[in-house]
Amino acid sequence: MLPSLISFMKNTYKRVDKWASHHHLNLIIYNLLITLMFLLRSAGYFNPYLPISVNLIMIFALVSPIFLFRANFKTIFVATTFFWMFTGFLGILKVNIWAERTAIYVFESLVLGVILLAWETIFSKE
Amino acid sequence: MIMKHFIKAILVILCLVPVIWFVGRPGILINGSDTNFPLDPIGWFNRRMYVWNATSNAGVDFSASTAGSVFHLVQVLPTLLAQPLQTTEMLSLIFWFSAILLAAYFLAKTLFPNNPILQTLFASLYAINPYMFNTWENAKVSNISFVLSLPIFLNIIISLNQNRISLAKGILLSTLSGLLISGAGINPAYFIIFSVFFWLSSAFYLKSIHKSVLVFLIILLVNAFWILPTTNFVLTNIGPFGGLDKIGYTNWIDSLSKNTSFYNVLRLQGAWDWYEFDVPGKPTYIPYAVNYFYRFPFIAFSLVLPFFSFMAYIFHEKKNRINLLLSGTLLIIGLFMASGTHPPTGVIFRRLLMNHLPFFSLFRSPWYIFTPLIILAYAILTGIFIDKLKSKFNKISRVLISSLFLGNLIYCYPLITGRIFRPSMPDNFYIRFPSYVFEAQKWLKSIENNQLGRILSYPPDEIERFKWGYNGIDSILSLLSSVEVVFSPLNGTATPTSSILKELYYRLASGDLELAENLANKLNTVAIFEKNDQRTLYPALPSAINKNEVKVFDRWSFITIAKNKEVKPKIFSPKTIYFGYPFISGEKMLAYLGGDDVYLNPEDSVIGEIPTLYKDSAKIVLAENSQVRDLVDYERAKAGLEIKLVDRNLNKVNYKFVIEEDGEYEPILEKSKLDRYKISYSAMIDSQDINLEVQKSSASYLFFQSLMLKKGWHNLTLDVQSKNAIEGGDFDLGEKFNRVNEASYMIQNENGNRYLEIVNKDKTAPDPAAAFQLVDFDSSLPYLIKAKYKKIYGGNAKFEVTQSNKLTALIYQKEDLPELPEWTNYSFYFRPIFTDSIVNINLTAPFVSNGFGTKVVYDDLEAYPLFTNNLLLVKKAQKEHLQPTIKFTKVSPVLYDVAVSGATGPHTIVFSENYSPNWQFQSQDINQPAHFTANMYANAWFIETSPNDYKFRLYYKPQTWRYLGLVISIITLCAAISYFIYEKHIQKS
Repeated sequence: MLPSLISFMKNTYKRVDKWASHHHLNLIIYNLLITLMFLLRSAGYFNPYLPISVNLIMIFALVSPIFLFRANFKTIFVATTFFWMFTGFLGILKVNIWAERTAIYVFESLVLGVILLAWETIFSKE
Repeated sequence: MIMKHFIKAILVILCLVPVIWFVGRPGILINGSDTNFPLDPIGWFNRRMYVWNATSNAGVDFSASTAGSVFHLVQVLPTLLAQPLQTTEMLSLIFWFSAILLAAYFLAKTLFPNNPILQTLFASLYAINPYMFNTWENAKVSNISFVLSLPIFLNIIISLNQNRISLAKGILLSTLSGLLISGAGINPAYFIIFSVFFWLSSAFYLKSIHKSVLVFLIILLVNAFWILPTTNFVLTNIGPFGGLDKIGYTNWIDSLSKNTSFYNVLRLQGAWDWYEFDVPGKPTYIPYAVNYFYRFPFIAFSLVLPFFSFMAYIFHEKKNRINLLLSGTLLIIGLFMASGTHPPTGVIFRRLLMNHLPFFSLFRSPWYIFTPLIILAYAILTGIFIDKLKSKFNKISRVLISSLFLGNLIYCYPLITGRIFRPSMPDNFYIRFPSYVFEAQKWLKSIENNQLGRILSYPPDEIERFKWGYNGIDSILSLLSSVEVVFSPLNGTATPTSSILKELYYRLASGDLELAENLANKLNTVAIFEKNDQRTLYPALPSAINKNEVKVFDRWSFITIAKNKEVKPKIFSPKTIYFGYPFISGEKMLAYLGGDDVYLNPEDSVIGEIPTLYKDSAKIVLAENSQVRDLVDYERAKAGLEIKLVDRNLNKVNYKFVIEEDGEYEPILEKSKLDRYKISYSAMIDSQDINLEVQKSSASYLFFQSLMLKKGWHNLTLDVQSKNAIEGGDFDLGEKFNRVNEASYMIQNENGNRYLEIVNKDKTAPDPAAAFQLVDFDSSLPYLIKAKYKKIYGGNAKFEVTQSNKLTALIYQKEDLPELPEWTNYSFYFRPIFTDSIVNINLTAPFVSNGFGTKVVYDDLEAYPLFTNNLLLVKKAQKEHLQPTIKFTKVSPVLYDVAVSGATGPHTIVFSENYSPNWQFQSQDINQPAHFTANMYANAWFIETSPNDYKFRLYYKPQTWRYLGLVISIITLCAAISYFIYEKHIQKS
């Protein structure tokens, strides 16, 4: 059990390492953009015309991988599932206010995922 | 093979879940609140044949309720087979519960044809979930029908798309299913959402769109029996934006959306009543909700379905892409809409949809309307995920299905065990109707076809709460028979009928029987239904009423209202026509008018075109009572001290009125409670002294000598003195109050004036106070309370007024007095609840924690009942109106045959049913007469010229849509069956 787990971890690491080395520039851009958005938010840029809320940053963080990393709908739904698990974790801890906030990210990623799915289904070569 | 039988057995057991709800409860019915299980199913069904419901509060348009015909037909069939009511209800619930379960099962068979266990899981997830708790708790016809419609029609669309069924079979199925889902039309919003769902699903199965068009047409045609009347009603009565009150609903969308966060909606826990708590930890309505909020297994399981649904997008078969997309779209629409006005999407919901989408106001309960879309999406997505899992890990998938199936049954234990009916709560839905209810029903059924007039329900609580458990928002008599009843409505409280009813109840409870009889006559009411088994605060009926003719059924009595008076029939011709000023306060003037009189609106544009009607008529003017006016202004004023820091005087009452036509007017003063006051009839009119001479007196009025009055505004002032209801409030005779808690209570003397000084060092809960009880308290009257005070140091002075009965405090009114160190007058009004009770006024020295304490002084505490009696001024009619003899037959709630004889001149016909322009006067003998409102609520027609004897019909026109719709529905049903048989025949040959 343990050796297979270690082997799985090693393989996963290799795959992630390979993927990262192929996308290192995009990863830098992605991180820079997210950091920049948080900086702009902290400085109150575009207020009150376009307040940079955490929601907006989250939407941006979900949308930008589609262009930077060619993320498909499954990737977005991995995020949805992750957000939902985190929501559940907060819910079980009875921190309902945070759970409700995280559930908003679930909804956002769900909408994006379904749009991508529609896009991929309509424009699929198959 | 064994597995197939096993699965069938499980399905049958699940279909019989409603039986569990009745186990160990012989003779008990699930009823009350929003659940209206009729105790007269045939009468209930018959009522739905008509678009006018005459049984409630002088009639109401009933177009939307016609959609419930098929739902209630299921209750009629066991009744016709002479089954007991409990069996009837059980069979009805089993029918609809099975229908949903089987519809979901057959959809699962289409979606996952090779996975029978998954099909069962799919059906159970769709039919048994927290959303359905409320649906079954109240047996909500539109919810049940809507939930049923989704799997049925998705199945038909997919089956036609994949040629699994022939077109003829599809049409027949659509016709029969269309009838089953007709109940959704009770709230048209459900049917609209069904239509949106239908076209969305059809768009995803575009290849067979032509078949979908045909299926949808069939649905519309077979549902024409309610679609035509309901559409007619919506288009003619409800504006594109707002106007919900017109169909008797209250716009409560914000309160319903209070707890519909995505977190709750995703877990199907957005129902508002789950989140109502009396005290922390004790739910007001849903006792089992605490398990879902605080117990780990319940919280964890609530997260499971969304989790598997999202996993379906990661692990799925490619063939399921269309269903993934359809489910995703349903999920997004469902989540967004079910959240309603709850943030963050609520802003868009409100600004975009509520404010700009025509008729969107129909969607008053977003959580209830849109959540079924989420449930269907969850069932499909979970199925897709498990189906994929089966292809890779068959054993794991079986374990998962079994765990989910069992887990869901445990998770939804309130639905399985009948806890949704809250058996542990005092206001639960398990009702054992006492035998006298059924005895009364027999008698009511015997009189319902030749009822002389309506029955007034008393006491008038908007929600009837019987001591034996039943709660209802309509009169219980409506459950029992089709007798016409008037009662305090919970919705539609601003209608003229409800204003008249309010006045009638007040007069009845106050013992002003002459006025009550007059008002009852106007509402064509002949009897009072006295419920001695109802929990109420209202006073008992006056003893004089109880001496009238009575029909008793144990705790229920039916008492004749006017023993010696003839009650006007529903259709009659009045002798005197009164025009009232101001018309809007008509109910107070109606109380004066006798049975042969009718009250008309001088500003009615239709009446304005009939000058002869106005010319010879009587005029009645209601004067504005200055004491009542001041009370109303006080209550409407925004919180502010300026209206309280004054010394009000009730020694005079000024009546202000407007005269529209010069002439001789007879002032008439209400006698109600007049003995409480000392009145001087040496009055002033427009600053001139006059002596009002009493000409005659009736049980309810004093009639004064007539006055010549010119057109314009006038003021009549009377000296009125009422007795101070506080004894010893000036402290001149020492301590005449009760002490509340320990403190220093000193009667001080300052230049001969005595006053009370309270020094509270450190006492609290309750704060020390001097308590006075109102003497000779009359809860039907508002009171003026006033005193002088000054604060020396510490906390601010405070008045506390408490009205209480033997059991509990009813009203607590606190007046925090401003921090003023000089003697200051303070006055305020107190409007008690009309019930047997006492009132205490506390002059308080509140606790402060600074160690020095509080010192306040009070003097001249006084309390006076307001003089609320109305003054009317009546100008007699120039000549009496012709009263031909009228005989009529009620053919149905929408049709009356009327014969008139002795009509030798112009006359008026009054029809005491709520006014609607749709009531048509149909006669071959005379031209269409002018139609207008009479007695504030009723219909009236003025007939200028006519033969001496003639006949006419009163017909509620929208019923034609009902008949037309029924014909279309029946033809569609016959055509679908014929086509199916024809196609079978062709296939055979």
